[in-house]
Amino acid sequence: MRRARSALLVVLALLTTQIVVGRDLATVWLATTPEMGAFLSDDDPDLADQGWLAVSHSVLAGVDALSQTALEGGLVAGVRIEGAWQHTGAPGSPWREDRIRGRLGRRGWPVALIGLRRSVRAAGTVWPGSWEVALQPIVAPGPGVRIIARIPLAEVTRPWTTWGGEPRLALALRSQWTLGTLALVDGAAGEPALRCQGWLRFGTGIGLGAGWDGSTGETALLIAVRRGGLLLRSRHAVHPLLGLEHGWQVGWVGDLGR
Amino acid sequence: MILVDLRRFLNLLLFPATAALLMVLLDVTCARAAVVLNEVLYDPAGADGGGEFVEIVNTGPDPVSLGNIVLEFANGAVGDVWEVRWRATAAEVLGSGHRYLIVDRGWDEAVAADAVVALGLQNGPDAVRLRRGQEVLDLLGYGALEQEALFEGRPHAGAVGGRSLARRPDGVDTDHNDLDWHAAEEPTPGRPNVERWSYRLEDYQLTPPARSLAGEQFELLVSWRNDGLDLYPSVTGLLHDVHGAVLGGFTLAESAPGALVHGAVVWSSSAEGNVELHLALPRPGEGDTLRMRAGSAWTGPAPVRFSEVMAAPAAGGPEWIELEVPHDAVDLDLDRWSFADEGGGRRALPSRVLARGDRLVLTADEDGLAAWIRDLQAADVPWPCATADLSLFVDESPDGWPVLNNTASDGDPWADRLVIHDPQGVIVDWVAWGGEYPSPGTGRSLERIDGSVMMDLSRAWRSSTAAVGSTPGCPNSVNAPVSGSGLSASPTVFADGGTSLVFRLDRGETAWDLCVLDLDTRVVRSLGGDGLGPGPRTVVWNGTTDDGTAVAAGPWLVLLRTRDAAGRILRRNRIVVVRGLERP
Repeated sequence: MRRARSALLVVLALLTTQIVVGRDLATVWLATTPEMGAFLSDDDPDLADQGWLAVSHSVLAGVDALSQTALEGGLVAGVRIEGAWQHTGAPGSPWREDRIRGRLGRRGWPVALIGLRRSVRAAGTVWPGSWEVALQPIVAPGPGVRIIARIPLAEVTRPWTTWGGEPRLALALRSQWTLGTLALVDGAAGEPALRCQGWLRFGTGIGLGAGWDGSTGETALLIAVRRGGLLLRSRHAVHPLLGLEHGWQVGWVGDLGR
Repeated sequence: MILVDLRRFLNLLLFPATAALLMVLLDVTCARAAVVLNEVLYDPAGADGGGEFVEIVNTGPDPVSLGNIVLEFANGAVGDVWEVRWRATAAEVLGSGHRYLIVDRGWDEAVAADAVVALGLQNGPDAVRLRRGQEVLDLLGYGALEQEALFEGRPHAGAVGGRSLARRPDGVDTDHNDLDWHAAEEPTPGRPNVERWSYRLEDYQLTPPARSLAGEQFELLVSWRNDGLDLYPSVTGLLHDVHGAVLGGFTLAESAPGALVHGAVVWSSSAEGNVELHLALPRPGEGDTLRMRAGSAWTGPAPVRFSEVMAAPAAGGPEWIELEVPHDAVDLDLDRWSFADEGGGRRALPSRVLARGDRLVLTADEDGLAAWIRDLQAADVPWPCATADLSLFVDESPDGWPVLNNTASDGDPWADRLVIHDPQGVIVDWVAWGGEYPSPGTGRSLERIDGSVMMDLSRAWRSSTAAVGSTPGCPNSVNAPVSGSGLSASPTVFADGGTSLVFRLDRGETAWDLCVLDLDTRVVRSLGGDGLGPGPRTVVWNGTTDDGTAVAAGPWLVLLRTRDAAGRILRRNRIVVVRGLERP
């Protein structure tokens, strides 16, 4: 079993040598790093104090000038604090965008506060930025069921179009061996689009899934592996125009209470 | 009685014989007069006056006194009324085989004249004759003459300006003007009309008619007719320029009098500009050389050249031709320059001065071309360059329009060909299409590739890759700057003028399509495609969606897909362009 896992890691590493992903890193995975880590290890993410950290890299839509790097992390120790920074654009790119996200809540509370700041430089010129503050109600109507909504409280309308942000509404259904996520996200033009992913866990630490993106028409194969605190995720999608796309994330999830 | 009878008998017997003998002798004398007209130039090249001449020759074995011989002229419109133009002095004697040259006043040729008079010959139908007393020694009538007193046998048809009427062979007179005389391309006053060994240049053809790079090879095909009196043996001739520099050699086969022979010489010249071509053929046995001019060839960059041709416009559209003065040339006045298509006459170019880099669009229908441009702009179709105002460039040819052919006939290497002549008539540039040459489809022009040479037209010209099918008044689409084969945009952050998307199809890539996607990778604008094969492409996106709505500020994705002949996608190139914020 251990040899099989090692082989799978090697395969995933090879797959990620050519990195292309068609979606914004902020919304591509649907399940957060601690949620996926907990699913693969069959833990309950709400039971123990934990911290997590993840780094992602991708090339948006396969355009070199839109390479993306994201760093995100969180801490849950009574208080739930999460932060993320994402940079889009390579040196010399006509479009460079930075996003800073923050999320503040408390474990067990049914609501969190989120903030998002976007700033842009186009061909070296700084454009007016935008920010958004929203409430994020969290409802758990039954075991393994979670519904998350986003209610904007204040926002500065940006004078430019960009990728969508947090999902407007998300539903997660989890059992011992399966995880399903369904999200209503804002498209670039502001209209909602449906996105869903379904996972199967094989043993401990390996998950395979499939995803579908209603805004782009992509169908994706999802692979996730957890070894100890290390979490590796990859996404391999077929886009009707752009062809094959790949993306990956490397994260660490630690149970601080153990 | 016997004597009387004998005298009667002799009278009866000898008188008819003597009379017959005298008549025969008299007839020979009239038909083969010792002094005859040998060459007449009545219509010299250029302005009238100063170049006319009449050459007479003594064909007999003995010297002949010219005393009492007069040269007379008769106007065919008047009839049998003769005016003396020259009268010999009693002391003048013409030796056997010698020529005597009578010229008009103002004679400035190198050949010395024997008599200078007011010749006053006219261009026909007219006649000249030599008379001694009442005896007409020789008579030449030319043009459509009716009165028999004005010609021998039948009149000669006459010669066009610059050509003389020359007896062929020299001095041979059969009393048939139409057979004894021919129109000589080059008058030969004081010299034989027909040499023993002689070639006349019948035709020559230079392939190609011009080269854009000095040192490139030409082929000169020449046809000669043996117009000498004897068999011309096989000889090796030379092609040289006006300075005598040898450009190449060729061999001519043996030829009989009247036969046509052909020769070919492949040559090149390191000189740029107009190269005058001269041919030299050794004349056997005489240490002499036949020399003749075989036109000119242009080598090197043309002062003005074709840059684009629309020979097969879409339905309702006009034909047009775009000329340009290259950037590395000098300003050019097109006065007396002309162009022509295959088989058509020269048509003057508009008399205007073009600065280097300027383009001039000649069209069959100026209004039609303007309407086509207006329709495109009204439909919001991107124009291939920023300046769409062509009114400054469009001009009709003052001599009318040559209908451009699009279909090659059997055996023709091209459907049609255009050439540009400089004021001296030298072809400085040309383009051909159809047949063995590039053939653009209907609605698509043929564009010149910058930096190309005319050695291989299939590589010097290509079908336009512009979205509208052509680029009149704009830089050629086939010259769009492309680094590598990838997709690039200029500018990448654009405003109302849009952005030019440039790419190149490599070998094996026969088709392409281009589209603009939003950030959700949905197609908002299709920018077309074609199946024209390898080569550069330029497509302008004006920043609107398929329904004409201007896109919002922000990044937009551009996707290029190329396909092979089987329709398989060979590559996808993706770039981001940014619609800039509107200025407050």
